Amino acid sequence: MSSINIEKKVEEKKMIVKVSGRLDTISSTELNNELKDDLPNINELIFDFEGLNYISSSGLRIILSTQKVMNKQGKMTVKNVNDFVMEVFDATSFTDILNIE
Amino acid sequence: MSIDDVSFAGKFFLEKYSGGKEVYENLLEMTKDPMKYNEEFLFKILDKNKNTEYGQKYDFANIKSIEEYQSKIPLSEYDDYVEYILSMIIDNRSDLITADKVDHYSKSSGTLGNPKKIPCSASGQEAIMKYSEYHTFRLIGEKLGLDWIDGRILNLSDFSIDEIKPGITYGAVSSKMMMLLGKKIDNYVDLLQSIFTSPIEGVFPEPSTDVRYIHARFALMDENIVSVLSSFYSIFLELLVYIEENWKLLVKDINKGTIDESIKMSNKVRESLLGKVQPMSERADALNKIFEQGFNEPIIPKIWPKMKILVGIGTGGFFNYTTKIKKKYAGKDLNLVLLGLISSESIVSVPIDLNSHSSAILPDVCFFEFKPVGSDDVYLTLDKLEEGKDYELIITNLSGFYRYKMGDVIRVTGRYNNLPLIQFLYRSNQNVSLAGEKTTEIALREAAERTMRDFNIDLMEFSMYPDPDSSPASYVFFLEINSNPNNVSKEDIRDSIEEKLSNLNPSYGDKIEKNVLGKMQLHFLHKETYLLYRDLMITKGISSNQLKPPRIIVNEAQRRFFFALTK
Repeated sequence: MSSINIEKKVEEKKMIVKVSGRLDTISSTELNNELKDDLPNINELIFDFEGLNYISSSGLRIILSTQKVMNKQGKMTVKNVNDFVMEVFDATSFTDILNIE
Repeated sequence: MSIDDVSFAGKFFLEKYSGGKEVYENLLEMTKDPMKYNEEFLFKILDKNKNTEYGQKYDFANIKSIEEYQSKIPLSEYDDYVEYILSMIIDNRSDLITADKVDHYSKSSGTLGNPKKIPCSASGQEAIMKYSEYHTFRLIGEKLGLDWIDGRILNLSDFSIDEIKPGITYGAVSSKMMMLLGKKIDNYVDLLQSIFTSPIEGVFPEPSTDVRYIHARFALMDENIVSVLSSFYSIFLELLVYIEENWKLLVKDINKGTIDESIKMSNKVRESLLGKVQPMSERADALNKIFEQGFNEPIIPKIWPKMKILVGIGTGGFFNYTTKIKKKYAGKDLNLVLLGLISSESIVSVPIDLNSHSSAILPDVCFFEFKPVGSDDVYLTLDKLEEGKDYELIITNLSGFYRYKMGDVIRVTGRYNNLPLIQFLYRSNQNVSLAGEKTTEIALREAAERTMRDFNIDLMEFSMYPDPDSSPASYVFFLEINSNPNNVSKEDIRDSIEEKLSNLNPSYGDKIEKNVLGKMQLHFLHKETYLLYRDLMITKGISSNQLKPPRIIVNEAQRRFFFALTK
């Protein structure tokens, strides 16, 4: 059973992706697959991490590579990050790279 | 083979090989009396830069001997030059530290902090080009003949570069070399396509393109590859592991002329790449048969039977990658061209033989001083070195650094005529001494690798944090492992590393026994932690050509990073 739940909503050039559960090595591939088709066609991406309670190195790599894409074609925001995930973002200096609300 | 039969790429290589004759022969000539050439180099530098601000401050014009140079000029570090460098970049000022034109700044590999900007003058660039390209091509030709000249290179180096302002570049010097080549040659892109197996989308990749797939896919399509250029050998090993794990997908794509939907790249890149491939059922069948036999025997001679040469950095901390490539994937026919010591500040040494972990220092590129490890205020010239001894390197280079402490520790491994041969050992700040035990990076690496061998664990990478705040102070090991087939417990792994390290460095064992140092701690890292570290560093502007795994954690940013990613 998947350790992650991904809800995706695309409105014209804007995409909102709600991620809940655990973003680990296996589920990172799922997230990557969910993103890749729509990513080229949007200029705004919002990650809603309200239900995300764990993120591994693989998950961070997906977030980082997505941020790099969005730097070129629009903006990316990460919101509703819980304390645990925020600690990881902070310790890995992702807070300097991501736009976190 | 007549010159007319040589391919476009072959002519390019041939030009480098021929141009390398003089460089190669000059180096051999210098081996007879390297001190003479090194002294000449110093006085040439002092004369050239006597009217710079730095030269006037330290009265370069009136220095008449090496001893006088050493007594008048202080040892220096990067911070001593920061003000000058900022003035050079921001205010376009010249003649501050060098009279030479500076149109490039190298990015140092640094840590998680911001990279430094190391000036690389026109003469510095020329020296790098002369030795890293012309000498290397000549060396390969001298040792292996010219059979390889018509084959393509699997290039795994990254050539991205930034421009600080018009005409002033910032990045790896190798990227600058490529840029200059591009300006010199009209059909530059055609040349790259002819030299490298990977298409332009893999040589200058867009962010978030799955570059590993591109390199692997296009390399597998070409059975005639003769050489690999990999800034660090670890990058080639990663590619081989990727092929081992993903060969079914790669072969399927080669067979059908497709790019699997799961491969990450923009639609534009995908479209462009699809225009460059077509179904190759014959090659796919051949690859399929090879891969189905498994990876227990070296795979390189089967998939690339003409592959003869691997060029890159594979000594020092990369030794375990080199061993793995040879043992598991390459077999005996792959020749290693182990590039010598090249840093952001200068090229320091070059190989003078294949498959040798030693390299020859370059007396006409830097003035060298050597501080014996553990000594105070002793600075030897290259004629005073002893074989088997370890030294910290101090250089005066072509780009305005004088008596600059590089932070690299080398061992003198022998001599070629009178020219010292060296091996890079470790960065001097990668030497741990929490309680006077002086553990080197080499000892840490040996302890970790011997443990992994004993337990049949496949180690991806390791780091160690010397924790001064625990009571008593202790070592904290971080391991990222690919597989642990016998499920060896964390405690057993930790005890084994500690025991081996105690044997390798008895002072460490003694301090553990006396409880001056606490018992070692060990943490497993998430998979892909070191890849994430690399991604992050690249995001912060470090060239992948310069990235080394942080074996010893030296600052708070690294400490927080690794602790946050433990299992």
